[in-house]
Amino acid sequence: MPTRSPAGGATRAPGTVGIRVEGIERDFEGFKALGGIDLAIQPGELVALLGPSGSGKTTLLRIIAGLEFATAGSVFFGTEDATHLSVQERRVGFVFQHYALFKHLTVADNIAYGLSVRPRGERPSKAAIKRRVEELIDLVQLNELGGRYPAQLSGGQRQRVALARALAVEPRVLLLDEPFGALDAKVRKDLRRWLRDIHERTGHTTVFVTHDQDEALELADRVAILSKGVLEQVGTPDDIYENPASPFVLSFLGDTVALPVEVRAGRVLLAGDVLDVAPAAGTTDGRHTIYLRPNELALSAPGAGIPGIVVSLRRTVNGRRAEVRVAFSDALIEVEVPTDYPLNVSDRVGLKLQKARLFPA
Amino acid sequence: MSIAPTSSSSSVSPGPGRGRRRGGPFSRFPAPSVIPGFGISFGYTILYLSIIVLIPLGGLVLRASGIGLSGLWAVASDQRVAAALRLSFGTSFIAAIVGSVFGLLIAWVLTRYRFPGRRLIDAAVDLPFALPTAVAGIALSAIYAQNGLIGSLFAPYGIRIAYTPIGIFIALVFITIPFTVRTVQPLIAEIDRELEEASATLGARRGQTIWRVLLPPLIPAILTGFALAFARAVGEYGSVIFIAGNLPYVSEIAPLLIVIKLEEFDYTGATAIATIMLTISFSVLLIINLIQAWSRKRFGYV
Repeated sequence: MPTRSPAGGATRAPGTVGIRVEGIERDFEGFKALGGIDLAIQPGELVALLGPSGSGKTTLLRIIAGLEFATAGSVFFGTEDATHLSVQERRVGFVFQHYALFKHLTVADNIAYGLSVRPRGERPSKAAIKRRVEELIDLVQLNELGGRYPAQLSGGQRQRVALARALAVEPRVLLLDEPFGALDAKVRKDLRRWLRDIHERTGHTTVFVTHDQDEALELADRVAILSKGVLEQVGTPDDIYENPASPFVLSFLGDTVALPVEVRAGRVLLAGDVLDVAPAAGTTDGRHTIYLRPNELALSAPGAGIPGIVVSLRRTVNGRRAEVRVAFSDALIEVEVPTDYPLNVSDRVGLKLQKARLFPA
Repeated sequence: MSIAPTSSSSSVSPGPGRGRRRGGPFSRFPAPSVIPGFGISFGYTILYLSIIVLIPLGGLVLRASGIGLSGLWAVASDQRVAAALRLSFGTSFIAAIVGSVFGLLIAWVLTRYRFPGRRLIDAAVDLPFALPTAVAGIALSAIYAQNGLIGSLFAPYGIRIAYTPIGIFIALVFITIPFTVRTVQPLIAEIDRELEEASATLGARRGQTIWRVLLPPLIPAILTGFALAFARAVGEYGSVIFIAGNLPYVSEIAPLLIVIKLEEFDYTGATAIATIMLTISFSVLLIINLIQAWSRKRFGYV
């Protein structure tokens, strides 16, 4: 049994271990879902696997859990090679997107399930199971609901039950597959904070899959971004947001503006005009693209920055969005404009780049 | 099991068939709504049920009531009648149980696995529905008779199948196969893979997953199949009389006894047996329905 901290009766998971996957590949009848993934997760760390649908993030999580097997590569739990262990032997806590609660069992029985199916020798006594269930119900804040059936709970409550059920077996690692994917926006935000809180109290090594950038950045210690079965970048939220390793990471983490440019002899040219951007040392000559966030573009009076002309203006939740056609180029750029900034369609403006990332086209 | 009313903001959906029931008895009828036609469709339902089911059965009870309750009891306690009733309901009950177990197994195999010939076997399940029961009776008695293909295997050990209650049981199992298979099949098809995976990640072995996670939600459907099979078996006549041998006190089923009474122009006796069968069948179905309602509440929450 885990040791209990005096406050709140919360558990600290001493048995939790780090996860290391090495060269994980997965083929689905000729289609490569995962092409050689290497990733090391520290004990107690909260890591998000982020990627668009079809990027292989769920497959990777399921391979770690033992619900699917890799075509090649190894999975380590701590120092133990878990590659060939069955799901049951891996002792992972797994939370499914659609809860996968047992509908015919009450909340309490759902949580107790993992303990009550243990072989007779290892099974805690009825009273011990009951105590543990009560502790967990308390931990996930579902007091008074132990006697309910899953159908009588809201989506958010069901996902809490699912997490409590996964924690009941004292898993070595906690794996969550799009845990908030089926919930509405408000509940999502609440549960995010709540999961972070639970993680801080229990200290399990946690990996969760999400396609929601906000969720990954806000929740995780580190984010691993996947695309088409390949790891694009792994890093802290600040790191991947500020220093994206590829245009994909950049555009996946938020709106981007792309400007096709040419690099010639250490200078960046946009339709023949030299831009006030210094390319990194060693940038080869040729066609490149400048990427930046809409908020890294500032509108100014014509004459400063890149000349352009306002094509359209739209109201948005935060202010206004202007579509600006860059002079001598067909590129259309969307710029956020404060509501009080005087601007009309077909005004001439200048665009200043406050930050620019250059990637080969 | 208690379902306490909730004070939290959780969405509690009422279970199936648990509509609002407030006010007087008429408030249970739906108020006028955008879906029209309640009046006429309800009226037609009642008329149809009356002509086809209720009036004939009422006439039967009326006819039998000529002899009074004591007369009915006298018929029921007649040795030959009692033996026939016991046989009919007993074999039907056992056949329905056995049918439920193996029906579940067949449905499981047909739904969960893909193998060559699956569609053929699936179609074969319906054969007992499609066959005239007499065909089934002749086919079964030919095979299970002492000189038949299977009957001859048992004959050396002194076990007779055809022309004994065992034969009746086999005929009843045969004709009730489709009920149990077809009622559970759609539910097995709907089993969520994630439930099995969740169970496995929690450390449950395969058998525990089947027994504790997959089977309980099937119970209401299994009971439905059981009830249908039982009802069908009690009423079965055609296939049974060929294989039963129809020895009074031994292998004579109650429906046959009704026919015999009719042939003897003992109309009151025939209707009396019929009324007794009606009463028992109705009670059994009622009990099964109650169990089902309970199990639905217990296992059937979706």
